[in-house]
Amino acid sequence: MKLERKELAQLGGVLGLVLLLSGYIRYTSREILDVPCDVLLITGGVLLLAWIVLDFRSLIGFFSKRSSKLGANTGVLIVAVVAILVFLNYLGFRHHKTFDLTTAKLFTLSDQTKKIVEPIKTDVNIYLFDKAGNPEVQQVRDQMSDYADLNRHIHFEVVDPTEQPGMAKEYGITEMGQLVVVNGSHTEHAQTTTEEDITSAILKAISTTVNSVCFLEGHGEKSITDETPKGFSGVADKLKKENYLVSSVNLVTSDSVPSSCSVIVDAGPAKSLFPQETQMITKYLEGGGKALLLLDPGTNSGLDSLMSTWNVKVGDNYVIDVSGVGRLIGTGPGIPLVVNYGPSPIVKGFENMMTFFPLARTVSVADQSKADPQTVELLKTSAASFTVPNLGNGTVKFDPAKDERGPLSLGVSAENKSGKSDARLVVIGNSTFATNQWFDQQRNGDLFFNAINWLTEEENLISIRPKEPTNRRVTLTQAQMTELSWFSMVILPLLVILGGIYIWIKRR
Amino acid sequence: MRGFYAIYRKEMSHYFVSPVAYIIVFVFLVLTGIFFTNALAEVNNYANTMAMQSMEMGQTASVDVPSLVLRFFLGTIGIVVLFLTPMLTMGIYSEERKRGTMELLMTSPITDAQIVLGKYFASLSLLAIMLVPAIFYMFYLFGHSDPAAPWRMIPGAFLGLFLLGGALLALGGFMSSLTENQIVSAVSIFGISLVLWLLDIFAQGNGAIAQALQYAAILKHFDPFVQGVIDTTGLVFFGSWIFLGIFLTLRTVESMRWRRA
Repeated sequence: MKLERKELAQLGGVLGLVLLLSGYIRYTSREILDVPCDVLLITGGVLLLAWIVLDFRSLIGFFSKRSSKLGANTGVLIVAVVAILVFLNYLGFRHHKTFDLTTAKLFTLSDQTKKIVEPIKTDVNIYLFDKAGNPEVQQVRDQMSDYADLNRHIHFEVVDPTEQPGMAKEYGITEMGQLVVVNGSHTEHAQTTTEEDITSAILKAISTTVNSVCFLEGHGEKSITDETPKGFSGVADKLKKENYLVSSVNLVTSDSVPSSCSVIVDAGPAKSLFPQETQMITKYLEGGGKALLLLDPGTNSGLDSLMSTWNVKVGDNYVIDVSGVGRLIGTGPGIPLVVNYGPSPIVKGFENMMTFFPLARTVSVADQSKADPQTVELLKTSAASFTVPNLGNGTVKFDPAKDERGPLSLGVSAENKSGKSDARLVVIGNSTFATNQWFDQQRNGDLFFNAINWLTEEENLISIRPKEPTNRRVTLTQAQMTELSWFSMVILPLLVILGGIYIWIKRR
Repeated sequence: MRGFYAIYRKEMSHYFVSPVAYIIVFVFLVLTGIFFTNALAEVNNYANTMAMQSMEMGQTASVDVPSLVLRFFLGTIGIVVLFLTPMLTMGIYSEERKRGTMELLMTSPITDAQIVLGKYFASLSLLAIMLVPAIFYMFYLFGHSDPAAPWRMIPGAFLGLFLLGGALLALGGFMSSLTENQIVSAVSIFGISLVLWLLDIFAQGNGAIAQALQYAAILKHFDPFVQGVIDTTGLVFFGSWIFLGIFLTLRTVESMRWRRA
């Protein structure tokens, strides 16, 4: 078989294309232009060129055909349209708007996040250290694009720590999935990739102050190093994660509350504080200090004088809750449960959510008519609760002569703006609610944190919490379910088939 | 407009006089029924388990049954649509070309755009008809929700499903216009849809190309709709596919005139 010059040229042209493609694949896979790669590309190019030169006439002939011209026109048009669509999609991707149809606005960033992120003026880099292929990464990427929509200064990048070990080391990455917020030299680690944690990390990365929480010790208080269910180690861990400095202070060995303390916490003193200590705390508060006092029933804190200055009445009693609601979740009458809250940012958004106080005493506003300091009763038990002077041998009875009936107040927040600077105080008649055992129950932990955040005036940290879907049920009886199954799986499809058969018969 | 309507009617009657439409709709409805009752039972079960657990743990767990059913059910229906659209579109041009009726159409006073749009909207209408029972199920479900669920989620989710189907149909129409062989057209539409569907699994990394490929993944744009979020990105994305599909089909139909010249 004899090949003509033209056919040979065409064959060479095809071979040239194949060689060019192989050279390109070799180059992209090895990322270096080595000798075999050069050979492939050059030979391919020469062969292709030879084809064009040798077979020039038929090429010209092809392109001068009417269909080729029209084809070329169409080709150009298609390329132009695709380019416009790509551009449109790029614009649509960069400037998009979302409409969240869910009731709880599950897929919209919270107002808190907006308030924090929108005013940022410096570049904030957020790195997620993870394998780009992990399914969670996409979710975070989507969420971060919502952040970037809020503010152009937010930059997000996924970093594979195995590919960039130096960067992972720089930011102290120990495991996959860690998220770091970097604002200049200030680096913050987000604990998880929930909106709550990311926004908190951003807030901390852009904030310049560090608050210090000092836990008093020396009178049998809950210890921040105690990891047993009765301890406060969980509280301390969470505070540290929230960028608070946490320390224990013993006032016996000092002559004043350390000025470095942004907040002092007295978590369930078992024994009375010394008068000097009470005086130090009073003075600290007069100077614009902030304090959180958790006072368990059956103890005397020795803080009575302080309480009366602040218009707070701490009852010498135990609160008994016989509403029976607690029984649903396995708690008894000794654990009052609160679902009604006062008008304070500390308990904002708590409505219809529970907080528990295992063994609590009443803490209420002593004189409601007094305007200063501004006091708010935070926690209200149900009407089916009452006080008893002591728990006796386990059986308690309501004595209308001495005991108070619910609703009872279990906590008070007070604010005194008359001093040099704004002094704040929160008193709650129980310390157990924030122990390791109870901290994660319902809103107990939030109550503690919101109190601390309110005291340190970091209120914008309050209430950024993961959104939960609305609790909804579909109430169908068994009969309705069965009918629905029959209708959807059998009757309706059969009707369609019968219709088809009817038409078919009719047409025959 | 008359030309468009004539083509539309011809296509619709073609769907409904042949057994094809009935069988497709029948299969679709059986699957819809099975998936719906199954999703409802599964989610109810899950909600009950969560409620029991939360009682033991002393925490309340929120389960939004109607929204979850909507999401699972329509998520699955999306996959069914992916499998069924090739069957709706595989013949719309291939069959005409094979039987030679395309020539008749080309010589009729109907414009190319009327042919393409007429055929496209006919296939879209069939898809809409297929989805009617599913819409009814969702309204039934939301009607029995306690407390009431936001109705606006239903049109939002079905808009997503309809756009997804619309994009696949436009693409299917184009593939069908390229070949005389229905099997070839069906398989190629299916292959392309599947690639678009799974694109984000293949495309990983931060690079511009990887991100562009991730963007092109159909599933990513469909998901928000069934979760209750309408994102304008999704509207632009599906709108572009629909436009591109119709535009390319138009070019192929047009080329049929001059390719013989």
